[in-house]
Formats: sequence, C-alpha cells, structure tokens
Amino acid sequence: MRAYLEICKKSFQERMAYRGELLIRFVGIFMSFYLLYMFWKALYANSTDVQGISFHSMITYTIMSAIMGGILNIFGILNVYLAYWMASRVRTGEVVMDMMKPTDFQFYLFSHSFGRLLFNVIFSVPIFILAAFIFKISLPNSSGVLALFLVSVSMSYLLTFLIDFMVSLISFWTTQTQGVGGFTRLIIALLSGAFIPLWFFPEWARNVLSYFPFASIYHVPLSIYIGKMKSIEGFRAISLQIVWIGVLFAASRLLWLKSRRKLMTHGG
Amino acid sequence: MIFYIKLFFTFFKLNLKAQMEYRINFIMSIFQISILQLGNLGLIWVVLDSFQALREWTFGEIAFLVGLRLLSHGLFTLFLPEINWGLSNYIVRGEFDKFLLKPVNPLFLLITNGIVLSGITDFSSGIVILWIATKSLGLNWTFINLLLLLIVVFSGLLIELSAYLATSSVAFWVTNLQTLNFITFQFHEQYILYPVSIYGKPIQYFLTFIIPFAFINFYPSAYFLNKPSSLLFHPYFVYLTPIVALISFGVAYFIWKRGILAYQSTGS
Repeated sequence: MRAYLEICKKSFQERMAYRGELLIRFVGIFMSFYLLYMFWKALYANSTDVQGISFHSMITYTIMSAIMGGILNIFGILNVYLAYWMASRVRTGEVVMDMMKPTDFQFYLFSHSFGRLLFNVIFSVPIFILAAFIFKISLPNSSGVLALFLVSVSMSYLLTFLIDFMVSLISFWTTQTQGVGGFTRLIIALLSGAFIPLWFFPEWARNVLSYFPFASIYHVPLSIYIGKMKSIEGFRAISLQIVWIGVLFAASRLLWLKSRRKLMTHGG
Repeated sequence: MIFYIKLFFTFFKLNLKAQMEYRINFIMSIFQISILQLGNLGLIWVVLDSFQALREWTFGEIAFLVGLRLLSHGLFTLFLPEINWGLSNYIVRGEFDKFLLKPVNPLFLLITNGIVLSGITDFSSGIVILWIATKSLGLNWTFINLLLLLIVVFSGLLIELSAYLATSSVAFWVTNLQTLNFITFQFHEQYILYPVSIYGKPIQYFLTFIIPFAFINFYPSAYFLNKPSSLLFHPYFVYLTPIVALISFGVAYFIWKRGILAYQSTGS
C-alpha cells in the first residue's frame, strides 16, 4: 500500500513540474466555457424549457461536463492519456522497468493515474469557483444529491481508467495506440452525454446507449447533479455503473494476463 | 518561379513517401476524422431536433458552415501543417536555423517541410457535409456560385495560413508563448463551427477584423444561403473575402519577416 501511495505522490509531483502548461489550459478551458454558454443561449433563445430542462440547468450540466472532462483527462489537446503514455513507454522499452517493479502492474498504473487525478481535481477547484461565479452554476439541491453525484463521479473515473487501461494494453501488441485510443476517446466524447445530454437523443438511441458503459461516464453523474435523475433512478444508474466496473475489471485482468506474454520492446 | 514550382513537387513527392511509411495511421485517420466530423454534425442534428434552430440557423445551414470550413482546412492540413505548431517548435528548440541556411525563401522551405495526409480526409468529409447541406436545403449550384466557392475556399486557406503564421512568428521575440497559438487554434477549431452571430459583439468584431476567421465560412455561408441582414455585417461582406485574405497574408508576412530579423537562435 505504501508503495502505491508513493507512486501516486510521484505522479502528482510530475504534473506539478508542468505548471507552465496551466496558463494555456486555463485560457483554453474558459474559451470552451464561453462557447458552450453562447451555444446553449442561442438554442434557448425562443424557449424556456426544453425536455423539462431550463436554460440554467443546461448551462450547469454543460459546464460541469467540461470541468469533469478536464478532471478525467478526456478533452483538451495537452492531455497525455494513459494509452499514449504507455505506448511511448513500450516503444522506448521503459515499460519493462514498470513491469519489473514488485507491484501489481494494473494497480501500479492506477496509482499513477490517481496522482494525476488528484492534481486535476485541485486545479479544477479555482476553475469551478470562477465558473460558478461567471456562469451562475448552482450547487445540487441537497447534500444527499451532492453525495450521490460524488459517488457517481468516482465510478466514472474508475470506468475511464479501466477503458483507458485496456486500450493501453493494445500497445503491447502493436507498439502504438493512436488508432484505437483516439477511436475510444471519440466514441466517449460523442455518446457519453459529455456534450449533448442523452435526453435529446431519439428514444431508440437513448435506450441503446443507456446500456453501454460510455453513457454512464458523463450522463449519469451530471443528470444526478442537476436533479434530472431522482434518487431511485440515480441509485439504479449507479448500480449499473458498478456492474460495468466489475465486468471491465474482470476483462482487463484477463487481457493483462494475455498481454504480458506478448510484450516485445526495443532496448530500454 | 519555375524553379519554385519544380521544387514544390519534388518536396511534395518526398513528403508523400515519408507519410507512406505510416500507412496504417493514414487509414485509421480516415475512419477517425470522418467519424469525428460526421459524429459532431450528428450531435448538432440531435439538438436541433429539439430546438429547431441555432439563432435562425437550421441544421442544413450549420452543415454548410461546417463543410465550408473543412474544405479550406483540409487543404491547409495537407499542404501547410508546419505553419501551425511546427514553426513555433522549431524556433523554441533552436532548429529554425536550417531554414535560413538554404538559398530558397525560408517561408517556402517551411511550407514544403511536411504534409499531413489526413488532410485529404478532412477535405473529403467537407465535400460530403456540403453535399448533405445541399440536399437538406435544396440548393442550386450555379456556375458563378461554384466559382465564388472556389475563391472562398482558397481565400480561407490563405486566412488560416496567415493567422497561424502571424501567431507562430511571435515566438521569434517571445519564445515559449504557445498560448497565442492555442487561442488561434481554438477559435479556428471550435468557434467557427457555429455561426459567429451567436457570440457577443466583441468576439464578432474580433473574428472579423483581428483574426478574420469569420470570412472562412460565416460570411460566405450567409451569402450563399441568403441569410437576412440582421447580422452585424451584411452578407455582401463575402465579396471582401479575397481582399481580407490578401491583407491578412500581407500583415502576417510582414510580422514573419521582422521576426526572422529579430531571430537569435536558442542554440542546440
């Protein structure tokens, strides 16, 4: 456990070293916020309530989604995803050093990713406060809703990590993940409700999507946050998230057992 | 002149050969980019199903806007990718010297230094999306309009080139100021995917007079689609597109020239 904490600390400090990037990220994030705000403002120009969602709730949803995206490392061009990170370590052979450590490889990577997550969360606090002030983002209705949201977001993080981990293992076979990695990110961006909430989708698409793990990454926690998903429905959705985590965890262990025999590196 | 044309094709062949080394990447990019572009358009379609219009712009009209941007951007990506991140990277890393040591115009050398084949995919997605727009709006393409379209696409290419050339050239004075590039990038990559009339007046002026990205697709679309003149500027602004493009290029080239004079290698 101590070893994992140490790895986590290391990766946190590593992020701190790139503080210079923060200005760019900050500018980029607020430019996106402004765009999202004006986009929905233009859409809501002639209506106050669409699909039972007010303009105010919609802005909360969309800006919280962008903040979540920054935390989960999904959007933004300066993010280095686990999959890209791993692929470059496979190419340089550094991955051998990771595997030789007397820790479980997946938990090793998890600790690494968790350190980055902590950094992102801390970085997001001032962003949230500023955004709440400028765009009038509201907090959830009750502390119960807030708690449910936090649980759901944690599940979203685990889901993203597991998906990311499995994609990154592909580099053991192919030494690169650009194709599949980019593809996965794309599917998540389009179908997870990150940009457009699923309730705007046609009913058949909504039904299909709600069974995929992608939908529960953004759509579930954010719907809980703005109060669109009430307690029972929220609990059901979180249970589904947990089921997906179980399934993906089992699948990732299996894939890991297969992949470790496959690895071929140059030097290192 | 003939010397330069010959040189252009020689470099192009070399770059093509280099790109062919990464054939799989190219094939993956075909899937990724077309899914990204069509997927994004799909999301717009989904929202407009609930909202009807984005500040008087219907789905087909936004598709037109998006498609038009992709035509010039596809050409830019294919032929001029180095102008964007490449230039500032060369300057920051002190690798720019190599462009000054040859008896050829350094801008020409920079431009021909690389191609990105996936530009072809951007370009063809643009054609598909314009076709979708044409079908959905029942547009008739007259010969004059096609000619104007051609002029608009090449002017758009020149405007994009100038914007990135100018912002990247700032690195000649202030190394490591990639924030500017990033802002330009975000305006071009995100903001003009939607009619600029949805933004506040300052942004509209900015995208018309400072970084004139609105001329890439907004004014041309307003003209081709007969949008009402309730806009900040009349759709006839489209006729200024080639002039704006030439002026932008003049200004950018001036900044670039001054930058080269100020250039002091960071050494390496």
